[in-house]
Amino acid sequence: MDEQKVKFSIVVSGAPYGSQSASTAYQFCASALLAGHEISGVFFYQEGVLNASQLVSPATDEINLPDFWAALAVQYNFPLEVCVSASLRRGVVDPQEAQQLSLEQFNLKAPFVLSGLGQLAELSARCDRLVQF
Amino acid sequence: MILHTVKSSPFQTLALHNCLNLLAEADTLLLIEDAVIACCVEHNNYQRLQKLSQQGRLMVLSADLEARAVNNNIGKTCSYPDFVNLVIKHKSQLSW
Amino acid sequence: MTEKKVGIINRCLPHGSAQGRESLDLTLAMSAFNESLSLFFINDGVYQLLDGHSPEETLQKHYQPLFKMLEMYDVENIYVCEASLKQRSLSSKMLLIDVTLLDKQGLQQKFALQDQLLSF
Repeated sequence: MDEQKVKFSIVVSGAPYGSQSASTAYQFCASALLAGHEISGVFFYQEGVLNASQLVSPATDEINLPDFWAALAVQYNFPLEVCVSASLRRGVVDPQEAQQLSLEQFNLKAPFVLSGLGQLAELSARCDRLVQF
Repeated sequence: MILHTVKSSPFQTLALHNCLNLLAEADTLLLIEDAVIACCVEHNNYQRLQKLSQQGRLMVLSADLEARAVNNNIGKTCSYPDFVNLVIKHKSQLSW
Repeated sequence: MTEKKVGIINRCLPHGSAQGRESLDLTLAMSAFNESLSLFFINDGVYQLLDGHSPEETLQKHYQPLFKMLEMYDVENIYVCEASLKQRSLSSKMLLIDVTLLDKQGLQQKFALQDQLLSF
């Protein structure tokens, strides 16, 4: 399998700041893509859902991981799926959920999308390797 | 054939210890993030790591060594592209 | 294409973190799409199944009854590390659901069969 293109699905469980694991996941994805492999999708779960908040605002000389994810996903055209139940519990909300829950605000960053755990099953089914961070 | 990734220091958690208890003969161990220091200094599980290192089954992510200003005494250093290839070479990955 | 064998490994105590609950949520959801799931409880994860959780005063959700749903969802491969139980003076009789006890070799063999592993 070394020589051929491999499809990866990635599970990100760590927040964009406070622990390293989401950064490690990003570096892994960037390296895999640079080597010509494919990312079927990244599934953000647990604290990982915070990567999808458009309110993440680090100092200007620091890495903005949500921006990095968004740029990589657009460049290589893969989905950033965010577990909806894990997101709502942690205050990451899209316009549709905000309306349904009568919340005044929403903060999901594009092109992240809220999706169910079924989407993880889908990513699991259509990849060659699943990697968890 | 599993690629085990451990990310916490052996002085902080039992993740490395618990991983080593279930590491099978066909498996490889990759130390990332804080876990890289397990290759740099002696601890309760150091001898088990030395043995893995001699068998060529111990890898350590070089970016995480450099970030922490430490050098590995055992294990083979690897880059992110190597990490990607390690995942490809193994059937599955298990994050500890 | 044959269905991927997915192993879900539980390593944490309940209630101090959401690991156990989010692992169970994931398991129940994935079981609708994948009939080849295996559940493992190792290290402190064995406490997830210790019958009689009562977390109300900790402001944590009492999710333990949901483990009983696993059978209804046809998740039948449920394995518990025998050594982890013994180390904590627990026995399989004290657990909420029926499980298969495995020793180190047994766990290694089952882990090796999985195409994908998720740990919590």
